[in-house]
Amino acid sequence: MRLKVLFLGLAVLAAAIVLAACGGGGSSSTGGTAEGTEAAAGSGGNGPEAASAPNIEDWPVFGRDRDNTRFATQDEIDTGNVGELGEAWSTGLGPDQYLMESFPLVIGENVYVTTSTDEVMQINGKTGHINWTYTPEVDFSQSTGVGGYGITVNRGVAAEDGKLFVLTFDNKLQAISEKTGERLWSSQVEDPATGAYESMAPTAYDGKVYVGVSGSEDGVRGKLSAYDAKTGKELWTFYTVPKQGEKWVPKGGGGGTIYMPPTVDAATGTVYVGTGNPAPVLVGAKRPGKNLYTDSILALDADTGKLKWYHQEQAHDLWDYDAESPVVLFDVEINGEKKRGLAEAGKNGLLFLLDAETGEDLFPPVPFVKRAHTPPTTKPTLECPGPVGGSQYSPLAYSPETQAVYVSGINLCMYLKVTYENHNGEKQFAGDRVVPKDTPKTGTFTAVGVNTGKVLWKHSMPTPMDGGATASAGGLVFTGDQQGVLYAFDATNGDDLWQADLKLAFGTAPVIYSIDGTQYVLATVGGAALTASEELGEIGARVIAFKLGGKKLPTGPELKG
Amino acid sequence: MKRSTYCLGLLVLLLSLAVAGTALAGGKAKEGWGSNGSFIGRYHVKVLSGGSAGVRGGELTMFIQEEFPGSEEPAGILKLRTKTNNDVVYLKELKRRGQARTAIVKGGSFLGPTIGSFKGTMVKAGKLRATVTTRGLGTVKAVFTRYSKKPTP
Repeated sequence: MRLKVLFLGLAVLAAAIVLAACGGGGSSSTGGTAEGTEAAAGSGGNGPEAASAPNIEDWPVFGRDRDNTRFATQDEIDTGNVGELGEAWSTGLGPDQYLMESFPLVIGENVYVTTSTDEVMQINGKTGHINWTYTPEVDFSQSTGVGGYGITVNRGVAAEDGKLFVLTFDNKLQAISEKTGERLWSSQVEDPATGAYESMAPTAYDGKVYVGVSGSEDGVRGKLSAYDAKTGKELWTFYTVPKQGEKWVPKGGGGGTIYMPPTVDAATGTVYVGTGNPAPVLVGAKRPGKNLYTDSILALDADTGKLKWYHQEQAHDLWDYDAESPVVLFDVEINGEKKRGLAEAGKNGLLFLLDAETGEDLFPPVPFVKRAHTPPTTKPTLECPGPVGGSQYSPLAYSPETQAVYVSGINLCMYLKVTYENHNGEKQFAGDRVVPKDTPKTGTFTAVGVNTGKVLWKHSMPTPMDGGATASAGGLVFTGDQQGVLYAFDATNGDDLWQADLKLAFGTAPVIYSIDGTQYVLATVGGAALTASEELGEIGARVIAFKLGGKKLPTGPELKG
Repeated sequence: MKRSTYCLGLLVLLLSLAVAGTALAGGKAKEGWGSNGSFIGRYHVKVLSGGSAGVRGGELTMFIQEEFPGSEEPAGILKLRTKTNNDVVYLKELKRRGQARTAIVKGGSFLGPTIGSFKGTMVKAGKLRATVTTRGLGTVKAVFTRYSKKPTP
């Protein structure tokens, strides 16, 4: 009687006799099942004056706007006065809360944040007072895979028409009242017996709630589904991989699951989403070919779920190189031609800049961390990036003022080793991953021009960067590291303008909002499950707001590069 | 958290760890909690004393954790529910001596920081009376009664 357990979601590093050389380059197609691709209607011009982000005070959707840019139009806090930024309030989220990967929403005066154990809290954005907490009944032990291992994170809620939508670890999509936290309906989105679990924030748009499932490492079959926002009824489902035993998927295999919210382009009726690794993880011999549509960016019809195009970032993956982080859309002019663009940072350490209409590369993929990987063998080989990436789920920010995306990177190489064992009379692939002793775990933070595909500036960071980035019209870009330091960089040149040491690791990026004319920068801190859990210093998930003239906090380290 | 609360919590944690550490002293503790049939499965949690956070109930799942074939090791996932929170902690390094059953408690994940202890007595197969102590929850006393020998749903 066993539960297969994946340490850090990665420890079952079964690897394969490698049959294919699998480079980092991807492949894309608008043929095959793709049809009905409409011309992408760009949402405006380009250049410094062409900020398409809505001029609002809230942060009402995951990336603030539908393009998922994480660009705040507020400019009260800018490069000239950011040094005056200090703590406005700080609120703990409960006893024994240790992880925090929740990206909050702000609607009116209220902040909506989830905990790693699926509570939803409404917090007053001016004071930090918790107005109400919705505490769902959740079975945290029901998954036989990663869930059984026990990584429980919740990356936030979606909101529309007075409802909040939250996914619980045990595969339930629930709607609750934005005003009171009262539950309105609950739908089971996946059979728990499959080993699937939920970690993502859903996306709500135009009466639909878009939901994926997590668990690629354990062979869960990936899918994206749309649900009726009023009733919770399933409207359509697109499976990202074939059934077990069909085409390339072996018995017990699957993958292509989804960890972050899809991005909806209202102008074209397209849903963009990234998918995870094929399974068995790192076992290539039993799953021939490219293993579509794993490690891919997918463009789907928002009304029907029909595939428009795909772009695979890692064909026949042997390293767990998901396309995990959420997609960012932007308008760009390249060689005099206006394009609708798309950016996604892969766990393989490459930033992909694509044509959002076709899925074709706008520029060659841009490396942002050390990349040196070969197919794993029975002898330990050092693989860079290691199985945590690259860039993990960390959202990019895009500033229309700088025409740049800001990329969070993890420099954490690992030794991978293939082993073979007889298990219940069957020869099985097994393996191990080892972090080299005395090797510092570091990160990068990189600005890349979307109109050039070139690195504009880059910082070497003292820790892996999990949380992601947030930009503002004040010429700033914010990010946090795993020592708990929040940074404000000059978005144009990367100058390190301000730091605050919060002592709690970052697994999210800040959000920015304004109430009564005061601009706040809100950080949710407590650590990221995959890279921070062994190293948490101070423990406890908190929400901390900053404003000009707030309480000064200590600074962090001097950065190199 | 105020400094006094923090210090008090830390003191409670250190004392509980010390108690847990000495619980098996006086004899060599054995690895694990005994035969799988005696403890693997899912448990209801009846709270006798809710600790400083006011734990009201919960669920415990005991199972054999497998990192890779041949690496089986018993472990547990413990959910404790307060008025407003689902707290989930993880039991590792299970040991036994006689009827005594102990484990360390990890926060965040199985590889997270050690945040407390589980110290109990196996009354009979599938039934434990135990004290769980963590910094956030304080000292929680409860009876754990198995309702399914399957750890999976």
